[in-house]
Amino acid sequence: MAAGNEPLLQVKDLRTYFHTEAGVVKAVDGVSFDVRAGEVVGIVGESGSGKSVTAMTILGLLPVPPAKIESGQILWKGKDLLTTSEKDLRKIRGGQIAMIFQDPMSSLNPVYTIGNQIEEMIATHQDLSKRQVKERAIEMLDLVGIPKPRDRVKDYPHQFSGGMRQRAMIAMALACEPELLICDEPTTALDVTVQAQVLEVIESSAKQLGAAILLITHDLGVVAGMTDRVLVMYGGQIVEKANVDDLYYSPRMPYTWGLLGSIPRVDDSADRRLTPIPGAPPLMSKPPAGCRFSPRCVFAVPGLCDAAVPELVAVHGAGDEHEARCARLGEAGFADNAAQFVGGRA
Amino acid sequence: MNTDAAPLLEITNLVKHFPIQRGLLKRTVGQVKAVDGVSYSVNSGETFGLVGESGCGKSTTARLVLRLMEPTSGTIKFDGQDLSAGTEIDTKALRKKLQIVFQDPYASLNPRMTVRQIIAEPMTVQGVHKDEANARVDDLLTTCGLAREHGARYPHEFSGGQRQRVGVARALANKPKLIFLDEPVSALDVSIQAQIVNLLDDLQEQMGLTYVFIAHDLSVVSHISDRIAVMYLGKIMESGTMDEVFGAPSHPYTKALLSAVPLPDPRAERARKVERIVLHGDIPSAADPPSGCRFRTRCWKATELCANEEPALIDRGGGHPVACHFPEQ
Amino acid sequence: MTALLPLAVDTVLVTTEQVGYWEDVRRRFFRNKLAIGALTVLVLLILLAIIGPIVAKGDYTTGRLGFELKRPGDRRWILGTDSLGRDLFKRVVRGIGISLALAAGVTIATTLLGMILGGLAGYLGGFLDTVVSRFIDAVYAIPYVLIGISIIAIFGRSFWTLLGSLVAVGWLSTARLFRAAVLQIRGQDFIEAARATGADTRRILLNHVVPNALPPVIVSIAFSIAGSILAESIYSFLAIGFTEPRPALGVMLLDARKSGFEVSPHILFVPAVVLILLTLSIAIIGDALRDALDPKLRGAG
Repeated sequence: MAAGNEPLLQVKDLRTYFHTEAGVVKAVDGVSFDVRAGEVVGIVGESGSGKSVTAMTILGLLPVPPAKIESGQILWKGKDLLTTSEKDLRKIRGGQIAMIFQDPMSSLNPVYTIGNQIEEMIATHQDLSKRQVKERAIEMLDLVGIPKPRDRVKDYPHQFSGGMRQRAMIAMALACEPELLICDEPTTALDVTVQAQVLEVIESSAKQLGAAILLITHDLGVVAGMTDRVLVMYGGQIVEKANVDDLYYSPRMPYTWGLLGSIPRVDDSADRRLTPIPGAPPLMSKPPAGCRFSPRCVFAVPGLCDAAVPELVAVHGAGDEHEARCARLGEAGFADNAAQFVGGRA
Repeated sequence: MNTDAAPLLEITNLVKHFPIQRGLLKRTVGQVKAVDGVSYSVNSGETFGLVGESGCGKSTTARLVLRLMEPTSGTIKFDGQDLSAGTEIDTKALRKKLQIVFQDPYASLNPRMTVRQIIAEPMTVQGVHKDEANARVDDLLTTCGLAREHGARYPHEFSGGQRQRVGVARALANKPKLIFLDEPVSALDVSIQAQIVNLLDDLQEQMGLTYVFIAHDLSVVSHISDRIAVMYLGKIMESGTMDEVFGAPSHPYTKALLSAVPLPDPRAERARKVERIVLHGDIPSAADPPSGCRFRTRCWKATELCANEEPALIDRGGGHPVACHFPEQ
Repeated sequence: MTALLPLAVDTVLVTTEQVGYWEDVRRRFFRNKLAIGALTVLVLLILLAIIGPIVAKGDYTTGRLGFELKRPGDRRWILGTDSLGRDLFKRVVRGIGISLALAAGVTIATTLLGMILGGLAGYLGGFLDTVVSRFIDAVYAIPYVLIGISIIAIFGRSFWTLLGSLVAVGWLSTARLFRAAVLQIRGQDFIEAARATGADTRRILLNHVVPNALPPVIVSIAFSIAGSILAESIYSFLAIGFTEPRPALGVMLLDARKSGFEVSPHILFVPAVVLILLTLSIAIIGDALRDALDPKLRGAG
């Protein structure tokens, strides 16, 4: 993992609210994190957690009414993207920060060939001759493992299968050698064997180009296999931040425990019972008082957990990368509760 | 679980071909072989898992047994009744004993009916008296983790997990013997999935239900099933108990599937990266399946034999049926 | 059967307000200012059509020599008189009533016919669907005025042939619309779920398909009324609809055309403005209904 001095991307206290008929939906409510050069950061969360909105905000892809970025900064190499002009943003989008979406069919234009779309991407950001652009497009298709790229570059999106389309989208995203690749649920709609292929392509091609990856997903298995650091989001906030081993083997936030306890594993013993989290994710138009997770937390203490939103605090003291947002974090022995959710593993 | 008695459901060589029609006169130019000779049996009280990727035909088998679609050929025996293709059956009576829970909680409930009406409908259709039906609706609501007051509400007022509970309650209305669960948790958040899985587990124990659990998510299927079959492109590749199939997979496809499932365990993932099997190519079209063994186009072991001769689903020394000429040992 | 202990009881509902579907539609409709305006205009016109003939009693069909083409604003004739000296106000308020009554009748017939044919075609599919759809396509291609002229040429001119030709062309769009709605609903899981409970086709159509396919039909009713009013006026203007001395709006327009409206524009404006107000207000209401009924905008979150 390359160690950058200054992080490539710094999100500081981002708040994105949606102003709807039903009220104000606080989709992202105070999110801060960094991505350094070459590293893979995962954002994990369920529906309504705000993970996708965070990604869309970084690239300015949200429709501005009803969305509104209430406060915060998104620093890309020191420059605040939120105050950058649309013209400059367009240069960064695709050229330096690229994005892959969940549904390739809706991000690929059905009336243009795949080749055209990749070439357009390259031509917008790089100054190459027409011939060079074409060659590069073919190179990209090859990089992502599409067989016979010279022929397939003339095909239309509907002529590709689901997995191939996703690869084409990856090719398009990487065509200009971005430094950051944001992947928003890239494999959620894919079959498990195709998912494995696509994740492998993302990982190897990004590594080859030295790009950092911001991977947004709800799949804790995918995150375990691909990421260096993980951010767990709930109710529009980050509730735990840790490197991947710490998160899975010594998590400190009850929501993380609940998540890990909810997932069945292929290698589980036959009689292990899942420990689900009671209730359902909150409606972000009316977030709960105090800790957003408290209504569903079996460890919630009335008067403490429902009084105020806990701060995101370093687990082992200042300078520690592992942070958790739990009012009972510092309590002696509280961390031992994790065992009933994640015990018996690793 | 009584494994000595005759199986509750027995399917033999079930086939469903969909004609492909072209042109104004709708000439049949080909067949989509969605289900192409599938055989499995389900014992009373157990959970039978049917696993496979999209297009393998697993959901179609459920609809064929329920006669929501007519089978092209094959025999189906359910609870002593012959449901094979071509036989006349009383579908209404059948649906008292055989039920289904659908995948999409947002589409499987009529938005214009209250939850009470939705759960009561199977009983109303079968002629159950209004009062009796209402009492049972109350019972079912609480059993499935909802409150009685919820009966007067409409589906859009509920979350995905709650809607799925309504779907389960509806399936239970007439006290069925066997329930097909077609991807019942795929559309739900992870923490809610676990709730529903536990609910299904408990209901099975309390009511002696038999489940056929259809899913593409191997982790969920592995958790809930007793016995399992792996489908690929309309055929079963391997079947047996959980320990047999997932514990010691014989078929290369099963191995590839298991290898592809990411584990929520970073150390294990790093260790597996070396020996991960990544299949090449895409799933072929069911309208034009490969000759011989259907999996051969993506299999690292494929030989000429695989192209010429289709392997039968038989026990090849592993203790459970596998359809491969070169099963893993 | 003893109830099991409920697991993780989800007692919090998604929408905290229990708003019924129609209530929600009503609210959304009344948020639309233009719709409220149109509704007001329509209500006024209807009131005019009801009260008008009572207030403005008396003869409105016989010409009166010497009182032709009087300007509006006169104490005796608020809207003036036409080329034969007839009171335009008396005529126009009755004209509104004629238009609305005929449109109502036509719309009821076309909606029923369209729903039955479109619904069966959509739900049952197959040969029936092919026949009905191709028939609709074929007839749709012909301008409806020509169809009207043909029918009236064959069957002669009467109230019933007028009604008949309007219905003959009116049911087509309702049928298409309803068929599309039924097709879309038929593909939904809850229909399959209903079949899985053992429900028969009749039950599925009545309890599941129709209630969900109603919103487009409601919109179509609004546009059908407006369309019928317009179509009838066109037919009357072409002298194949209502005839003199009936004070239908189209008839008044024809009279205006024949009688030199360049000199007395009010004999054109009075029926024209009323016709425009009537059709436009209904069309705006229809549009607003369509927005109010759009399920995509439903619910919070």
